[in-house]
Amino acid sequence: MKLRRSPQTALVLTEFLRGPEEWKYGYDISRSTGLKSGTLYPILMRLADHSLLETAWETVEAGRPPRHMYKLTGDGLRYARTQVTAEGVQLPNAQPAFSGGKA
Amino acid sequence: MTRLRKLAVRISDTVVRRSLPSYQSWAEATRRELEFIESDWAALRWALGSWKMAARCQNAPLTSMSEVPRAARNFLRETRVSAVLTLFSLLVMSYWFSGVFRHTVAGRQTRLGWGLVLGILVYIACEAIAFRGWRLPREGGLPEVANAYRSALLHQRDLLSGVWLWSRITLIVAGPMLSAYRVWLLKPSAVHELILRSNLAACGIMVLTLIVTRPANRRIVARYQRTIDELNALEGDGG
Repeated sequence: MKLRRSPQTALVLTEFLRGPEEWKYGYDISRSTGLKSGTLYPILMRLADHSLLETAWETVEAGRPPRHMYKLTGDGLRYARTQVTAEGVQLPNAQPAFSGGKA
Repeated sequence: MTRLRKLAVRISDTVVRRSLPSYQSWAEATRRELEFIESDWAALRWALGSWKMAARCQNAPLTSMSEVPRAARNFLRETRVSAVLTLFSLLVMSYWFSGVFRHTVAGRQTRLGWGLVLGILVYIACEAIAFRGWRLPREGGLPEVANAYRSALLHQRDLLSGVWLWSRITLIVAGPMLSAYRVWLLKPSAVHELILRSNLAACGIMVLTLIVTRPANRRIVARYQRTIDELNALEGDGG
């Protein structure tokens, strides 16, 4: 997949830059960026395809299904910093796309 | 579990089941997130989004032969639905034509009308024969599946372009026009004139729709061709 520079990708990268060392969940990213799953996941896939995003399955806790987690790689962090600076993206004060999350 | 939640889960499960192997973990990821969304409406919107994501992934290039069986199954499932709808509408049309022409006196238009009905029936028969071939072989390996997939893609590509497309449009547009004209000739009245005019308007809308949807049609044809090329390249590489 081709990596496109779009405002939505910049939003996702900005969200990762808020806590570069933290693993993030898809739904949490969706809530904080305001992107819907149909937009968010193709972006995550493209980032992962270009080795900019690390993915892992969460260790299973009793009674809870494991979740897929995401974190920028070293290259991803560098890429995110240049892209976010180039796009001039402000840290979003986004409206959540979905309300009522547990996480 | 509410009905909305059940629907969301069902949609997500379908997305997981139908995803190509290379995207299965992503589909599974969206499915798991569903468990952490409290609002049922939000869960449904999330599931519909994952459906959209899966649809985008279907258009992604084939990267290995292992993806071919699932891609072929998805493609056949989708095209079967549209083929059945097309066949059904053509059957209804042919029944309608036969009714109109059976009750009118013999003449050039009547013969032409019957010819048209025959043309549609032949078309339906051709479609039905081609449709029978759209099955993945139960036995055999990936090359057999790839061959069946390629045949279906070629068939659909040709159906949406060139002679097949224009012959189909001619049959569909000419039929109602001819019948309305014939009835108006036999019984010239205000009602039959109105029928003729409404048929003209309907045909105009149909032609206009075809012109408007032509770019989308071309994109679909190009996508089929791209998939055929990818299949050929994968087979050439030995998977």
